Amino acid sequence: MGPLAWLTVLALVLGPVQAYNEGNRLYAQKDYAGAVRAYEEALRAGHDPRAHYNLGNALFRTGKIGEAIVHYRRAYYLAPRDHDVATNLAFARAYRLDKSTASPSPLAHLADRTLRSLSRSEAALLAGVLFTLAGLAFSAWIVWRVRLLGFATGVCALLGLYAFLAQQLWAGEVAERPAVVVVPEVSAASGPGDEFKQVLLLHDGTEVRVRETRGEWALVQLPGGSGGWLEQSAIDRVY
Amino acid sequence: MRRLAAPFLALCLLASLAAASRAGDIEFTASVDQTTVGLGEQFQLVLSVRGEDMLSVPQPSLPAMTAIDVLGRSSSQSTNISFIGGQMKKEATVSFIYALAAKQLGKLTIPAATLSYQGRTYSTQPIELTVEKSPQGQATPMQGAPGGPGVPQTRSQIPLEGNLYLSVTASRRSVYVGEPIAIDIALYTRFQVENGGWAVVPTFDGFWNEKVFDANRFDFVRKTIDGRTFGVADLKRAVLFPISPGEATIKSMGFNVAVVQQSQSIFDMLGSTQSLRVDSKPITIKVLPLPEAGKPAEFTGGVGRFTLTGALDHTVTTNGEPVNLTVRLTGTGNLRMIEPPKLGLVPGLKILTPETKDDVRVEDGSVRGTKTFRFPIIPQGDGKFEVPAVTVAYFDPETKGYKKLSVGPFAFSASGSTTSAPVTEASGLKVLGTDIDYIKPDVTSLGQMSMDPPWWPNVMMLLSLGTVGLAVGYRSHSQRLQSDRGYARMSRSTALVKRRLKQAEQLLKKHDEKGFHAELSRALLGYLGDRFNLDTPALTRDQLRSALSERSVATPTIDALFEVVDRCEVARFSPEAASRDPRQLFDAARDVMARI
Repeated sequence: MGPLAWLTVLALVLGPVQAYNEGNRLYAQKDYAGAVRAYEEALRAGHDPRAHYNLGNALFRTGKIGEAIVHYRRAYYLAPRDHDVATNLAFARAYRLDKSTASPSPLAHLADRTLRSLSRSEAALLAGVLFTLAGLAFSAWIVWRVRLLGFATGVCALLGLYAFLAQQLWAGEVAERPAVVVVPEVSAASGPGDEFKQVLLLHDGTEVRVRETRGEWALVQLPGGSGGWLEQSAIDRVY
Repeated sequence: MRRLAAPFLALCLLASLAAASRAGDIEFTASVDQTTVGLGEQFQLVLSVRGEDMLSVPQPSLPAMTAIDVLGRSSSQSTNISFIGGQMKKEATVSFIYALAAKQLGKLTIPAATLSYQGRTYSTQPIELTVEKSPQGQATPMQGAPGGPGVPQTRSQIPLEGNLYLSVTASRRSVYVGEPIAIDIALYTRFQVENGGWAVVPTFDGFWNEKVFDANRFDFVRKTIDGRTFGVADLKRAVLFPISPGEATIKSMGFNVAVVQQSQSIFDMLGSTQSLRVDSKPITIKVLPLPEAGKPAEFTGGVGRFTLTGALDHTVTTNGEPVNLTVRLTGTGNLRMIEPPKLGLVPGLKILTPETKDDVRVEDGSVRGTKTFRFPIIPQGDGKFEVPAVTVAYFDPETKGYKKLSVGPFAFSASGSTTSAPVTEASGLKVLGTDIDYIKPDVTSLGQMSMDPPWWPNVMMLLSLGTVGLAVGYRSHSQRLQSDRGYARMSRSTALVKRRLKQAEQLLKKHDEKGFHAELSRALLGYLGDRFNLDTPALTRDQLRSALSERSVATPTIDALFEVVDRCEVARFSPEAASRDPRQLFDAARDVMARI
């Protein structure tokens, strides 16, 4: 109870930056549980990819693969070009008990990589700015009919389309309501309740999507299509 | 009491069982000489009855067989005497031999045969046969030349003991681990022996066994021992290498021989032989451990006498191709038991586990040959490399000491290697494991990002769509200004009317009543002209009225219009009759223009 209270005080007094730096200090001293609490304090004020990443690391060190994946994915969502984040996310995923068997086609993978070089906010911002510029250039072209303006319209519109698609990709992912199993082992039932038949055994770190929630229960689905009802406490929503 | 009773009962039961098996218990077995037979081909079924001190044995009843013909039958009786631990055991065996031939292809079963003996019924196990089209070759049992050299006697003339035995001799009884022992197994006989086979196949547990000779027929050599002539047939010779120190035993082995007997009956079709089993005595070998004192680190298990050679197959290699270091150990000893020598880590070289080849033969009872180790070596970069000298140590049992052999070093150069990894990194580089990347460093400020994307770019986009709409509007307006005269007049009029109205207002402020009324009238009529594309000054009052009606201007509006015009006219030409309220007139004019 001591360190927790102390950390709360620390966060109140010093703010998220100090909590984050305190987390780094504890992590370096291999006090991973303490680092987890400090980073969580740092994240209370708002999201930051570095804090999510470091929290993911601390959680991974304490053996919580699922929670680590949640935070790595949040860091990835905010900073998709960060190499460390991608590496550790892949590492944590490889550490899971339930290995994903679904492998996307190389073309889809390439498209995914290309589009995900922008974070969702960046993509939304870029799409807005580029489409605005395209609109303005188009307006100017309508009035003055200068060829250069037409060209600028085309370029801005194409780039804007790319950013728009990237944004849509993220939006689609968020709309899928992804979640990660954060308990060592849980069995999914065929209905929202303990009395239903157990149909699926899931382990820490398995990534699912939440299709429906009913009270304390959530219907989750694996990428392959199979799924079942879990208690919501067994999973953590990514976004 | 009950506790005691149970063991006691069990004991009684055991005792009675033992008694039963001793008193005239017999063994009744069936066997065939081959389990895969050709269709119509003759094979043998032997029903043998074996027991100690047997009385006369009745003929067993062969079961009815539809797919098998019985071609003939014979019987042979033999007394099987074996010597175990110096004690003689006398067993009689009566064999009933049936010559059979199969009539059907496929799997056949010879059903159980039964035998009644002393009020008890014995039965054999059924035998499965496979009948094939073509006769199968079968390993023939050892056939001796009947009446081998110096063995004229038949069984009935002399006793067995000391005249028929299996001899196993070991060249040494005390050896070091890995030191060879020559083993000689021979059959000594003074009888005429027809054929035989192993009853207990020789196995040499605890030894590495190098086969020298395995007899497939008796080859008797005449030998005289203590004035008696024996036929001696070598059955097996081998060289054994003890694997671990301690006492190792060459177990007793058994050999069955058929000794020719004098024919007792002319009806005995297959002749009469007596089947005998001879067992050898076990031999204990004392195996000494190799001395620990002075045992070099390079010792790889060799015991004997060896020489060492070594060579690289290339001294120049390109494109990262491996070179092979071949190390050969040649000599006499336990070559097969020698482990590959250890090559140390060499910076920039990857030395793979060697390929081992044995080329071993037995000459004059000693095992000699070559053991070859081939080490593939992959250079991890370009440059000159040196594989250090290879050292192998072995134990020489004659001098009872260790000896070291060395060969090398070996130098070669590599060029054009595809692996661009620097030599320093490649030297002994080993991926010990993978781990997550380390945490991000300390910060001076943290972002307070939202998981939701910003909304204002969307607003910006909508606004830019608005500008597109404006641009389209402006474009079409300016085009119409050029192509549509009426439109151009109308778009011009608004500004003109406004200007005139403003001028009128200014005149009113200056109390120039006359000017005010003239300007107001001009503004009103000019507006009408522009609005409806009419040449107003050229029109009469009635023409104007009808033109306005045609353009669907409401009659009260037209009335109000003419009223304003009339009042302006009046005021212009009779200033004294000027309107009492010019302000009100101005508003009325504006009101009329708004209504049209």
